[in-house]
Amino acid sequence: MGEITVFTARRVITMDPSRPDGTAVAVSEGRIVEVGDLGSLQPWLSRHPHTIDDRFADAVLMPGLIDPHLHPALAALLLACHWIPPEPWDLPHGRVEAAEGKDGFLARVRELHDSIDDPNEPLVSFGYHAQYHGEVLRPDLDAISTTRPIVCWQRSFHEIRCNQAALEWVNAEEGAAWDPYIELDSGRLFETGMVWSLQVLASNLMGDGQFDEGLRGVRELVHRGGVTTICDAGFGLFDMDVEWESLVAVMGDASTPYRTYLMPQVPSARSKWKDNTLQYLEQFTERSTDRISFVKAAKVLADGAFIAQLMMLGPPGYIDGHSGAWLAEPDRLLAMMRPFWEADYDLHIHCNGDVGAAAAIDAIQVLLHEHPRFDHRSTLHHFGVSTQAQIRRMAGLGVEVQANGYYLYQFGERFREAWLGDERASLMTRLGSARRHGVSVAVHSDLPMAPVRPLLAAQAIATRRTREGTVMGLEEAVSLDDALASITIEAAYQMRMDYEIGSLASGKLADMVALDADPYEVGAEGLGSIGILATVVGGEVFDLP
Amino acid sequence: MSTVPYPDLIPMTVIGGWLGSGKTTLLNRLLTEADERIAVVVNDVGDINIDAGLIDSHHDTIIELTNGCICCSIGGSLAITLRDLTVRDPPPERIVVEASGVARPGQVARYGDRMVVPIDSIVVVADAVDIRRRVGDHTYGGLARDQLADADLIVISKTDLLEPTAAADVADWIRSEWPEVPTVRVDADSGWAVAVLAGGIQHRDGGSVATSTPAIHTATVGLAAGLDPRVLRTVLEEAPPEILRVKGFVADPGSAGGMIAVHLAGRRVSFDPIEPSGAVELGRLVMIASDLRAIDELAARLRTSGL
Ligand SMILES: [Zn+2]
Repeated sequence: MGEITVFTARRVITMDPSRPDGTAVAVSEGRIVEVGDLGSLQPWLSRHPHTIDDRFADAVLMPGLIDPHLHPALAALLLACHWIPPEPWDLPHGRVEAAEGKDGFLARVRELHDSIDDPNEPLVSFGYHAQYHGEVLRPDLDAISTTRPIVCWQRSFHEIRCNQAALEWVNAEEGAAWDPYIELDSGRLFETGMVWSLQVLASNLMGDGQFDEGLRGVRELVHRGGVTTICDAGFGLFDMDVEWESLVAVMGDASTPYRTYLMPQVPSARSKWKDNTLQYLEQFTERSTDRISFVKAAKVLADGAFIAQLMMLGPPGYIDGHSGAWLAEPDRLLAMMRPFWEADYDLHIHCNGDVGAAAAIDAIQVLLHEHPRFDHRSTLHHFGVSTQAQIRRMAGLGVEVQANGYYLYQFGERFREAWLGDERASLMTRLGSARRHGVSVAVHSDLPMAPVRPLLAAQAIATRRTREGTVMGLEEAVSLDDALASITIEAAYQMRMDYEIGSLASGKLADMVALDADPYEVGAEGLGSIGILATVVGGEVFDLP
Repeated sequence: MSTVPYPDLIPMTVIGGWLGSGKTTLLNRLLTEADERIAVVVNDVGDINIDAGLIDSHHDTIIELTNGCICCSIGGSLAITLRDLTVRDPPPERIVVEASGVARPGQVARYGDRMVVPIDSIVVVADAVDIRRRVGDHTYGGLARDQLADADLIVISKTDLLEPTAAADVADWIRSEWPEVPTVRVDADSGWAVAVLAGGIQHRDGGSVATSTPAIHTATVGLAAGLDPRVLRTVLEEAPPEILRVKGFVADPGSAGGMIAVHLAGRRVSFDPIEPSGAVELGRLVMIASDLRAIDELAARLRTSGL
């Protein structure tokens, strides 16, 4: 045993129900010796050299927060855009306020346009949302510039709106002949139509070292959120080799204030390696650095995105009657999951609508029959709309939930009005029922879909209060304990890392976050306002910038 | 008849049907019958086992595509794939797109520049064992029904797994539900595949046109000895439009023992020298047509030209 460091604190919250709290935590060689108080630690301290570190004496220590599903590469790409979001965001370079309404949105575009000297330099903005900003179409943007390509990338990531110069820039006229989702008159490129433009957009946003710069921004956002472990739940979305190289360069060494786990995105891996995907992935995922390694888990996707209103809904569907989309329809989803299931990978399934959830649950049921597994920890991600019956099936099959903790907070009211009606909007991310049936519940940000603020997500799922202040579906709220567990030990459990992280106990990694208030004192309503003072990773303190 | 309007165009065939309905069998059947360079665009999961031998022998291309949403396919879309295929050198002579299991094939047929890749036909496979249950399904029934409604030709698969009377019942049921769409059984002779490749299936383009099951007539015609291949080419180039396909071999007058493979597919006529082979019977053409009179007419023209 090397030297012991004892961090004293106003309170140490362990998230281990067997020994819930203390006032000191002893750390040695990156791991926790034990949690207690200076008295209870004496059997160790009387026999080993130690120092008392009281820098957190007035703070509250708890396990380092975990964001078990985000997308560093995607976020890095979007951070290179000019943000004009419908909600305020704290970005690496500072706070960006919400743009209100169409006038507010267009005024911000005009401001940006005026601030760029070169009249031909493209202006790519991110954050436009028709539900908040009204219909912004080609003529609106042509009125701002006829020479500068102006692109308004939609908040859901599935659509762009262009002025004429931007249509020419992304070669949309040719695209419109080939893709039904490119509309030249309105300047809209959506779904596959948007894919048409991506090569031009990505080279504009990723070139010149901007990608690594974006990743450094992500690194800062993660640190500021009090997060000591993230999982890239879509590794390889662009290109595994490119992503690996940049991730290692920006967050690979021990100076990084958090650990990164990578979960390969199966459809992307498949497009590279076809039927040999599993075999190649097993080779690829052997690599690791001080801070980056792979989880033995595979990410697959069932139905379309929640924010884009493309989730698959059963009756009565969307209020306006439009239909969702499959990313992998049920049979294909099953076929994609099978080799990974048989090779003992944990399966993490992106699903948003109740029909998407049905496909995921059905697939797991089939796989369990074909090839029984115990402790398989299959997890449904995002979990927008679901049914009570599905929760019970999940409990029976051992399927867990990892919800987007911000859906209700950010979109609850808009989705009630525009898409889902009151019942299904109020009951989105049905986590209270999941807990009542013993299903593990964790939450994630899915950055760039939502900010890396786990404590805010915990507040949202414990209070069911939206950003506007309305409480929706209080029956689906989880307890304060469960909310805190969802950003610590339950997230670790779903990553199959709960033996190392997620709670503070003898032998586990010394990953902690120092808070300026006690979550149990401020209560559920106050979680999002708690300040993050510093994080500790492997016993080393990382002060917030 | 939706034959190919201009030789430069690359006709596009869309194949739809639920996963496991037998699209692979159908694709392999098409590839077996094809004389043209075909590019096949399939979905991403490796359950499509296209016979590699077929691909090699025709210098065809298989492109795998992930689903067209940016959540899982940053890199490509059907539109981009189709565009890229058409600028290959040499370009394919036909593109076959396998729609994903729950895609509406009619929706897939909206992709592609119609001035370059006209839609030739939409072929939807219906699994005889499963189709009635699929159509009645609580969640997916509507989609299964829509897929069949998009079809220009319904190919009924897996009839061999049913008792003959049950198979006939399913076929009758499909015909009564979608009376405007011609149907064939996959285990019938491969005339339907020939018809698909030859542009012999009428594409309804959203509207429904009443047609009957495509009638396919086949005949073998002996050529007069000493017929000049140049004359043969001219006659074939002016063949009646009801001629869907002609295939055969003639002696190459330019080289001793040389042989030429003769093809007419769609509106294209090709004469390709081949390795001399004892297995090849020279001087006979197999003709396939949607109307028997067209075969008689072409045979008569060949006889007069040969004189
Ligand atoms: Zn995600």
